[in-house]
Amino acid sequence: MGQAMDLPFTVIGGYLGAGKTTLLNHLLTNTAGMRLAVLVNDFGSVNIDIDLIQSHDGETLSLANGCMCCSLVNGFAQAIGEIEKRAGAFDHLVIEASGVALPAKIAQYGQMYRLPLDGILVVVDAEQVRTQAENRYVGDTVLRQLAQADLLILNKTDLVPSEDLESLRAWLAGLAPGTPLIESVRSEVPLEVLLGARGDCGKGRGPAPEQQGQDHAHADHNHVGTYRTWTLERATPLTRAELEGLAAGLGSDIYRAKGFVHLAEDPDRRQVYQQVGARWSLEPGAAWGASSGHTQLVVIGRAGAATPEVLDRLMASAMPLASVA
Amino acid sequence: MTDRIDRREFIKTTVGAAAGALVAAHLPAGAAEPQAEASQGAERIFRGGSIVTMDDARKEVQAVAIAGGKILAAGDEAEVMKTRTDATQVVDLGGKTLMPSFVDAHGHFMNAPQIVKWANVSGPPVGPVTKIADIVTVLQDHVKKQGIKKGDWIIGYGYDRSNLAEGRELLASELDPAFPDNPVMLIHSSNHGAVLNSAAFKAVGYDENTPTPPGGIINRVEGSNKPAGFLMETAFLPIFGNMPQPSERELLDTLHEAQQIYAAAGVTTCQEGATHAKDLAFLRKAADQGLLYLDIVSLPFILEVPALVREYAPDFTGKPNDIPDEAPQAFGSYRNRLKLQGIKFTLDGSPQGKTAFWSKPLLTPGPGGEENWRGQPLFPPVQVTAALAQVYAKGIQVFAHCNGDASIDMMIDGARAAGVKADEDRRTVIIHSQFQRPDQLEAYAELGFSPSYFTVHVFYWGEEHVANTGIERASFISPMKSAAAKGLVCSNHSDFSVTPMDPMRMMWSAVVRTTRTGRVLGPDERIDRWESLKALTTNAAWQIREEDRKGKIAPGMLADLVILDANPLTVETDRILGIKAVETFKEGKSVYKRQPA
Repeated sequence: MGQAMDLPFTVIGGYLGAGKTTLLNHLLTNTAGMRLAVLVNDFGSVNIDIDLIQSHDGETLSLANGCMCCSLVNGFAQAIGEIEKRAGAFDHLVIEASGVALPAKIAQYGQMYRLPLDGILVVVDAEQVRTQAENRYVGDTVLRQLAQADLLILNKTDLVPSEDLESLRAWLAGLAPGTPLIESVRSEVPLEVLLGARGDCGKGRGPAPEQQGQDHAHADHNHVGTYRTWTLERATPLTRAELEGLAAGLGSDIYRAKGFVHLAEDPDRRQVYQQVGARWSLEPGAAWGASSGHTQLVVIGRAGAATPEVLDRLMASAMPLASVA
Repeated sequence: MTDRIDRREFIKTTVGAAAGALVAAHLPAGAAEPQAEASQGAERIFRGGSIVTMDDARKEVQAVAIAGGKILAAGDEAEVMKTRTDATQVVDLGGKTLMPSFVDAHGHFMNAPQIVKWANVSGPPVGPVTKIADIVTVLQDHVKKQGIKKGDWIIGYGYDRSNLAEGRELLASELDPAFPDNPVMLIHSSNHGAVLNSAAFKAVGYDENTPTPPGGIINRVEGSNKPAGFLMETAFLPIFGNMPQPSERELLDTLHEAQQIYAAAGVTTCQEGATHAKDLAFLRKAADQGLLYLDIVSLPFILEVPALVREYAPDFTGKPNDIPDEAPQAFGSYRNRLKLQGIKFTLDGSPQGKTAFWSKPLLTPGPGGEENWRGQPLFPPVQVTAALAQVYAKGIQVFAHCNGDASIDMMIDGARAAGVKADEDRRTVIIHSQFQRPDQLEAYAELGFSPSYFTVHVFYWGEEHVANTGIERASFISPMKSAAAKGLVCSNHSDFSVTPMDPMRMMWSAVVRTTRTGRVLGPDERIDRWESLKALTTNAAWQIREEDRKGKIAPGMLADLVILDANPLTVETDRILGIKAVETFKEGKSVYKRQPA
């Protein structure tokens, strides 16, 4: 218990049948080099390609791509213990909440092991959620799950006519105001949106020097036009107030932001910035050392979303990199 | 399912000894029982006291003869004495009371091996602690008795500030002088928190730099950030989860003491009421090594069924949650004193923890401060219904933990969907059944549900229930009178180790229904003493399909008996709580004898 693990974790919640397990299977087979530890309620439902399974030992399943799947059947403590045994072997922990669990409660379980919470993703069955919300047994639980999300993943949108989808979006926006909503079919959402890119922005690890350049924010469209990415780079230090303004101002079209910050109040070392929906954190990282301090953030949002005003403003207020050096 | 016990008893009593070979052919190896041989006469005859039979046909007799582990005769003394031979020992009860020993209707036997290694720092009536100094004394005695060495953990259970005259949390610094070299953990009565001493904080790595996790509490020393002693919820649970576990050998070595908790209370059939795969492996080992002298009824937990299938039916090729066709054969008969009786479902949590599942919100906020909180089901209804359908289809008996009325509704829905009817005699036991609604009793009758109530809750948490649910709902908690009026067979339990193994308190609570403050909660649901004792004997036996061998004194029944120092049917009501077991017999063999004070 003494030493806390430096392993960010994500909770995947949502009512039974929403697509949590499909999402997990999708993640485990499209890891983009990220080594995931996944805690699941029920092994039976995880349908991992047999070729990928390296070993199956009791309640853990080791995969050839460096991932591990661990059943929660013997309790959370034991599952975390399995992961602690292999501390350093994983980049990210994903915890599948049961269909009736309140994901914020599960997030507390992770936090009590002093793991940093990346975010709470709640998968929503586009076809069923409104019926589920009226169910006499689980309706209040479904509504609480929605309200606890940092990111909502509205899944199975292909099963719903577009006019229903429109009213569904409005209904969800009323229940979870300001929470970004990602739409998906068969839970196919890229890993970098769900969990962030592999630790290249992690503590102490900076980008390659050639990536340093002039202050700019550029945008890319990727994943066949489903997502839009902005990269903010600037040499001018950000004040804490500016950063808080950025975090609060990204808006519900932005799913995630990740990177490191050159903070005016603590200029000698990196600050690792993570944001999922409205939840964000800033943790001190390694000293800049030989490289000069600068901010680099990757922001991922909805395709077609306008560049958040706050991003534009930060660019406008920045001095060119050359004049700082 | 094939009801082995009923059939066995039927054959035995109607066809007689000549059918022995036939009976044996129906039984798995190791399940054969000692036969009462009338021709050899009584081994022992009890007389000279009150003999309470728990048989409605004849409530009291003058004498009882036993032989071969069974009741040979019960009735008028002159008649029973006819079974006497030169070898018969005649026991004079000296005015004490003999009755059938108790059947644990629901509890967790696997908590017993653990608890005997822990110190009891509870307040009355569970333990002796009323002030901080008592805690230190109890722990010092425990260290001596258990031979705890320097550096070893000292663990206590039942700690609760509300029992302390000081009215505040115990501090680490108050334990440190007596226990400088042993880590001490005193687990809170809710099991959600603990007090640690300084050595324990060091052992778990908690210090002034430890942040309080969200959803947790770490009391700090005034004017500093140093942990003061008391921890709760998320600050405690990971510590508890990482505690060093006793080895299997150490646990096996505690089994005598563990069974003595039951035997000393006059209980000879214990329930392991939510058995995990590893616990079942442990109990099987205990049984195979001959370490069990009381009967243990195990209910494998539904979530463990896939693991059990993997272990005990490795060649089974069904889907992950399927149950093999042969599985029912594993249930219903003892092997070296261990039997599986049914599968345990758990639909909700506890009312005192506000994790039970009600249809209407509580009057107080939820455990996380939630408004309009009515608890939650532990599993989605469709999953419960599917799993019930599977278990019912295999003919395996269902034991379902339901505390709130909404979880009971889910159970009713599930059983109806599975097409269950009362006349199928499935004996679905609804464990706790505490906050059921009056209208649900009708459904119990329709579906053949049998409630196992928990009336000591009225005493321990009755006032909390009034505050949380209001007087009307709280007054209908464990409605034994109304259930009996519908013809339901009701048992009563202590949920050991949630409350102590104390049948006399269970009986008393069903009779008086008073809270800790003396309020009578639900006076209309009070039952008479006879019915209250039946809930602990013959009715509890019925729920595990052993009513033809346990829970009554009548010829052919097992000689599972207890001698009590007073008659619970006739003493003043308040004296019921003080009645003690003097001697307990399992199939005629003495398994507990009270040491003279």
